Amino acid sequence: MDIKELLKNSPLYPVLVIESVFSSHLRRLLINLAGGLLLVLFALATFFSASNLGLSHLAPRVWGLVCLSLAFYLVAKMTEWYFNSSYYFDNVALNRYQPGDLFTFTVGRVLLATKNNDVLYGFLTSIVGGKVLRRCGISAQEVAKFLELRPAGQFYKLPISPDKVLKFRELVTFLFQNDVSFSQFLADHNINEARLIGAVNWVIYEIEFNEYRKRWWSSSNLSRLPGIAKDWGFGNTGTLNKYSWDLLYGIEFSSDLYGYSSRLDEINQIENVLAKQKEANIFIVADTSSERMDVVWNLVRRIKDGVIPPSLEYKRPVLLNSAVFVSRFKEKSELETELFKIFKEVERAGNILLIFDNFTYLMQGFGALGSNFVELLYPFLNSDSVQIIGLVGNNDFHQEIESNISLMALFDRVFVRPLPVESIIHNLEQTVWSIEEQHRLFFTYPALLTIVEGAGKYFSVSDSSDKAGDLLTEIIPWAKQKGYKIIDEDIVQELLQSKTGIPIGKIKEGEKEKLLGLEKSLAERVIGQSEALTQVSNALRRARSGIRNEKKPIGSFLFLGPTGVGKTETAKALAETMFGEEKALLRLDMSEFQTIEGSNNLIGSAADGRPGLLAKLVRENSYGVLLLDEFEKAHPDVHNLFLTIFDEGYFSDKSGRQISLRNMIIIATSNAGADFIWQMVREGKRPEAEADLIINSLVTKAIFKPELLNRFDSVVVYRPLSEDELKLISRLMLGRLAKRLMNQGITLIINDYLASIVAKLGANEVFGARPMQRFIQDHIEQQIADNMIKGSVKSGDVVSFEPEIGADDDEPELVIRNKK
Amino acid sequence: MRFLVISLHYFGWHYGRAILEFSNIYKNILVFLFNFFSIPILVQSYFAPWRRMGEEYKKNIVDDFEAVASVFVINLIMRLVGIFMRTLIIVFGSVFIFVVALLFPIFLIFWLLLPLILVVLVMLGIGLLFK
Repeated sequence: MDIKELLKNSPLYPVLVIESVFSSHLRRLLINLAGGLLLVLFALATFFSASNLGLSHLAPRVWGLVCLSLAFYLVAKMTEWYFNSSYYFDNVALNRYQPGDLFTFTVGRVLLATKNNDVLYGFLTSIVGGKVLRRCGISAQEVAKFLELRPAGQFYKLPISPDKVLKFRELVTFLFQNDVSFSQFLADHNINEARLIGAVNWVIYEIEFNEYRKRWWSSSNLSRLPGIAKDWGFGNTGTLNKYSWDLLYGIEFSSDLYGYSSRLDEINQIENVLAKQKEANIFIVADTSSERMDVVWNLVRRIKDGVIPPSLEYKRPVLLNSAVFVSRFKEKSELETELFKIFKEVERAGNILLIFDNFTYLMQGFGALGSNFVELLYPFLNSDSVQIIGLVGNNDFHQEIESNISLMALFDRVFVRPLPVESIIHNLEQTVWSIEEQHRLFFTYPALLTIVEGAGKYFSVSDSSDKAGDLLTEIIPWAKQKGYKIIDEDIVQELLQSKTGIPIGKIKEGEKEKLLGLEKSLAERVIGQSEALTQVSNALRRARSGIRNEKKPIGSFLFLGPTGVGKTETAKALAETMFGEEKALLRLDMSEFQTIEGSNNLIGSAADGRPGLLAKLVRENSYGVLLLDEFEKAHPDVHNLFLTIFDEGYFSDKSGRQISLRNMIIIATSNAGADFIWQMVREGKRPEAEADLIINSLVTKAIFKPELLNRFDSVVVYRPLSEDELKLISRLMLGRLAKRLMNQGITLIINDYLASIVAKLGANEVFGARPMQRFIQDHIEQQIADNMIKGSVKSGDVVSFEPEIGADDDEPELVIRNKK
Repeated sequence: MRFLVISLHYFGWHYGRAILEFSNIYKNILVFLFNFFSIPILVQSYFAPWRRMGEEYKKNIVDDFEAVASVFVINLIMRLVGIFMRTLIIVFGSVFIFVVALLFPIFLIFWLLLPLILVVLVMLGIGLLFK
């Protein structure tokens, strides 16, 4: 099939030619030029005709020019109208097609740029195609290079058939799927099919959006202007106006959300309730005020556009500012009188949709003055001329409103669901245009995608559409400061990384070394236990390489072993290596949550509505290492909670909010199998190699349920430390002491005797290396300190410990060697 | 060749689809003006009091003629104000709509003659220029 022929036979051919010869940009320029020229010539002609400066002989000539330029202007205008009317709107904005249309206008633009039937060439060199590639983050130079290097003369049989119009999106998908060199080229730039189509949708959306807005004469655009006498039949609300805001005149409203409305489900529910004859009141329940207001704005927009049930027509949505209202009064009677006045007004006005911006705040405010807001509300709620929308947070709703049965009988409720990723992206696409225009920046589609996904993934507080918007505004000053003009995926990842400390995106050189050498850097702090460290490191490398399931925590481990063998130390070392600081370690002692009250403290309780400790902890730091000490001691409820966390990566607190632990490494430690491990050591076995035996013994003793143990990424067994390892640890700890002494100018020599005596006396079978620190403090540090006070050890001295001659070697003696 | 195809197509549009499209725009604008001046609502609520202002008759004042009369007079005034304002808008709006309605046939005639006007303009222009 010859593309040239195809184009010539298409009814779109004339407009396509016009577009290719005079682009819409050029046409606009010509029209403006012709218009300006016409005005200037007309002014000159009148001046020449009227003046008596002897120029009047020139006048007819100038009039002649006026005629010609008027003709030119008219032709330009006619062409433009012809272009717009004849096909453009039908095909682009309204998606209406004529019989005989085989493809859309946008596809036509690509085909027109096609040479020798090479459609890919046409796509890459056409204006729309260029836009798509730019949104993919691929520059014109890279495209040119690709065109040069790729295998020449590709010919495809385009999926064109008389019964279906070929759309741009389908054409691009077709090219992606059929041209290996093209899909490889995109893959090199980290663009897969979904991203490519996302970018295509964005470009198409921009074209349609602008065309739609240009058409001011369309009935939907004209109906945006409200009638001048619409509310003449309704009453005034003088008192209410003092505390409220008429949303029909709000700013957000003019925010160009033409034709697109998200949260349609919620809006439909609200409209159905508000259209009722009686008790047409509703609570909008959502976590953040921006989500609640988003729903309200969508509703207001529909009222203004007139796309609502007839009973809601002419309604005036008014937002009452609870804080302003309550704070104005100090006396109960004044407050109540004012509220009564407002309701009388609303009743009389007849068209008010009264929206309380914070329903529970009003309840509390009235309560503080000894009044009862809900009681005052009842008489009016039943009437058919008062309609109330209450905005409430999730927590407040469950705690203060749900239990009030009579209130619930008069109000319906709608729970605002978080927006799906696609809707958030769609909403942000518009915002990005205005940002780009205002700040001279350019966002690629992968960047936008990373913003939205990153917002959902790394910031677990508040809803993700809000966070994505915040992140988008946050990126502007940051990018400007760093001198970035084009914001791509890497730049967004850089921002996310600097905000969270979590390495995101491609594995960079420094991080690669860190990951590959993880065992080594952990072993610098954790002595022995090489098998345990290898297991942990392998799991984390799996996680970072992207193989991990994103819906789970980064890693979940159970460390088994006696006390003082390095379990906690491993957790600390992990926090330091993976998250840069030991502070990233969140520690919970599970022995505090043994009872049902204890577990309520951790999870939160519905009865008193307190959020739990875990929720609080995780909300404050959503990335890091969560260390659960003595995990076996926790209440079974707590175990069950972690069962879901290991599985899903999140839990719901008692108010139904989801709290994500997907950016955490969770480490549970337990010395439950310690006896068994010791026994194995005494029998000469290697416990770390016999993890299954130990796990089985834990299951038989009913300490852990098998399903819980199965959920861990890895159950790691720590073995008791050998004498040599204890000596290494004592050297490590003494090294820290020596460093502190060095600051005072005193040199401590750590000889073999000192190391072994600390290892021998400081450690024991029950507590492992844990008491060692204490031993050093009580016996070593103490002696030095005593001598410093006495004055026998001064700055510049070198000290060491030697066995006391003649005594048994239980107490090392300080020897001072003055080197001054 | 290209030019010929496009020109032919253009004339088809100029005397066909374009007229339909303009009529459509014209209809949109008229409907908009009708709604903008709220004429249907104003007619429906022609005798209603201005912005629901006015007073209520108190109970048990049947024998107090003065009170009844004062409420009656106030309400009457409110209705009169309402009627006055509505009449004003209805008259102004109707005149405006009528004027706009007249513009369309004028525009249509101009549009139909436009190709001819263009030829005349070019000829006139050249004639004047080389007089």
